[in-house]
Amino acid sequence: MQNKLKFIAMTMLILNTSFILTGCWDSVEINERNVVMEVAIDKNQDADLSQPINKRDSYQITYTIPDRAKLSGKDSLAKDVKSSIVTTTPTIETSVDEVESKSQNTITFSHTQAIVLGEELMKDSDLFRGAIDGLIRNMEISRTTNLLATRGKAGNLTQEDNEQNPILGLYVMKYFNNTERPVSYAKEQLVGNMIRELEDTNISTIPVINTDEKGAVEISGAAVIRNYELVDFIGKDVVRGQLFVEGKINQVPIVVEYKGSSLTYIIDTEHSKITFNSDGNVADANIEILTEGNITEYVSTDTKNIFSIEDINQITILLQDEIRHQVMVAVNKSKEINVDFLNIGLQMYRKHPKQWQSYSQNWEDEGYKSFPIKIQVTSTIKNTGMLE
Amino acid sequence: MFTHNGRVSVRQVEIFLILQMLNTTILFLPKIAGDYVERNGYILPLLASILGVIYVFCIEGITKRFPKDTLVEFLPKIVPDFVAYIIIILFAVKILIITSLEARMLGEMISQVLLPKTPIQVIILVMLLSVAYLVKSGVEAIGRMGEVLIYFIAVSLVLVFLLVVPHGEYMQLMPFFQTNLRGIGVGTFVVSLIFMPLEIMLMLAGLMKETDKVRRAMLVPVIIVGIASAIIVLLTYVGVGFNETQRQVWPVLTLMQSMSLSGTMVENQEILMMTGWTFSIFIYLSSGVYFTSLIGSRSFKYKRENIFVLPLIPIAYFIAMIPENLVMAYDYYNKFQYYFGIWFILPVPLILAIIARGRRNSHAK
Repeated sequence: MQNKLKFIAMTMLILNTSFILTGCWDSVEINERNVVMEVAIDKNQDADLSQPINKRDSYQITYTIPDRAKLSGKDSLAKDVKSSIVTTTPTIETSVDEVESKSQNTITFSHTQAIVLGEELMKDSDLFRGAIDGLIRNMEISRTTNLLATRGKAGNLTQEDNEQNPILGLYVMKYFNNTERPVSYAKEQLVGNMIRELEDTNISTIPVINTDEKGAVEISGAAVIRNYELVDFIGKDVVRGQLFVEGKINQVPIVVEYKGSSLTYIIDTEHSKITFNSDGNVADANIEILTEGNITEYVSTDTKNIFSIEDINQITILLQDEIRHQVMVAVNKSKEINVDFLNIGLQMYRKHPKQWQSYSQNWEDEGYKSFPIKIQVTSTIKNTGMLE
Repeated sequence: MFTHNGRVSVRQVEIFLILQMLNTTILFLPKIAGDYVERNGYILPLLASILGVIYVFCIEGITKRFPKDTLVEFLPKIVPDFVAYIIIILFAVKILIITSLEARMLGEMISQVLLPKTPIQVIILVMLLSVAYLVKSGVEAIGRMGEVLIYFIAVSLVLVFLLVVPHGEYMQLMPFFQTNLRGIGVGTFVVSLIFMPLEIMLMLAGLMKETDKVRRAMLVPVIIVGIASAIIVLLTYVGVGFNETQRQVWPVLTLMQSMSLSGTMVENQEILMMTGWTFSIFIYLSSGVYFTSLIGSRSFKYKRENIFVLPLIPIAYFIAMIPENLVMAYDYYNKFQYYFGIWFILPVPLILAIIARGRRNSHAK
């Protein structure tokens, strides 16, 4: 009898413990949560500058909350599936507080897929730095959230209709998760990676998202950031050069003219390495690029077409020149705006730390601008497709 | 049925020590190592393992002379009774304080990451009460619990490693070996304090089934934890970035957040690290409460070893609640380890071994 009582008491105790350990203070039913899929952060242009900084509504933040019931299924045809809440507050956290007051449910950022930064916000280093700090300090938003920049106001972009996917955050998530997509004009940037880059070199790039005249969303080009401040927007051609230097090019078509016709070469794999010629002093940088790919498109009336070693050798030389030219676009742009977003200085510090000391002082002023950079491309054509 | 056996196997001791060494310090070890040798921080745990081996020999040097005895029994045989009891009391107080601070750090971490709205008092108290329940059943129950939990911890750690390895930016480790010898020396000592739980062997060695394998039971954990710590430091640098690691309070946790698994089944992957670490802390707290209680019961020669367990819970709780905030708790935790961590793994066992040897020699004459 005593053993039975002991068993019952123990069972009750263990069951109770399991209830205690569920953390009921923090439990919120899933249908009582509003899952924010994207956050657009802008500088509030109408902020009253006469107010002290802690009272000034410097940020304008737009939260997009999907209606999960309408969104059920991957290809929902429902309309009005999202609602946007706009707040103007002095800090990111007060914005969260305000959005909570405008929402019937608990707000959660655990599945936020995209943060879009407006142009004016990126031009204000204090606000930009404050926004990033506010996002990550209390771990509400994951460091793996995609970060994007936009020309103009980010809030306008997230509130627009996107025919492909009404929720911009989901669009961005699918866009960057698609491993079959060619990596050619935009470099993915995550919150944590951007912070790491800024901590390492004070320089980072953020992909630009915009809509064209017909309202179609496009992710291409980048915003160049130095010390949490926008320096310039760079076009997609420059980003392609940057991707070449970083060895991230994948499934990208290169088109050259060969014997009067266009020839298309798709790069399957690309590797790059930055080396420095050094005999005591670092004299110049050498960007070595290796590509492997296939010829996928070429029209010729010649019977043998391009199926000969001589042709392949000549085409290889043309391709190497074209790739070198594309990389040079990025090198020239980085020198023009005097921002080392290709990380030449970082590589020198890592590989030649002693020699780097003589450059580090004026690298950002004149050092990078006048530093010689050479590009060496080695391309391999694996096959010419099913035709000769 | 296994309760109050009072004896543990070599394997259980090894697991027990491994789990204890993977305590809170592991979560900010990359930052500590980076403070001394910058990007080469991963070499410090490996060098610290050499110091760990020295600690092992110091502790074994004294425990092997008194097999089947714990510190409470053999200390009065070496030094006068009042000195013995002062050392025993200091040892018990030290274990209790570090256990309490560990509980506080656990509470802070859980509050920060998992349960922000649950009061920290509740988190700490629930953990301590769970610990009390385990500890009540004796040292073998803790050993067996360790044998169960080690698999969960190992799986979590391996998953962490597998997730980070392919995504790491290994250039973060360059430039190599740009550091000074003083940094390496001081850093090695500070990092070697991760082996502080070896001090518990002053009590535990006497409770082992095979007392001739005390050295092995300590060496295996030192080597495993040394290697695991080096890997954790290295992966944190390549995953989070060295400069960012130095800014973070819990860089190892940030490491888990830095791995992108967006759109997949798992989105809050830091839970993997949290799981392993929480289990590890559970064993750490269990050990602290158990051995403080054991010191009490053996000192007062009570037959029941767990008689002090429940009275210790509120004391541990109140010590844990002394720091007003995370900054203070973090500071107390680090300073306490830095100033008191070494005492019972090097000087005390070494001095006792020398005195014991001297006495034996004088008796022999």
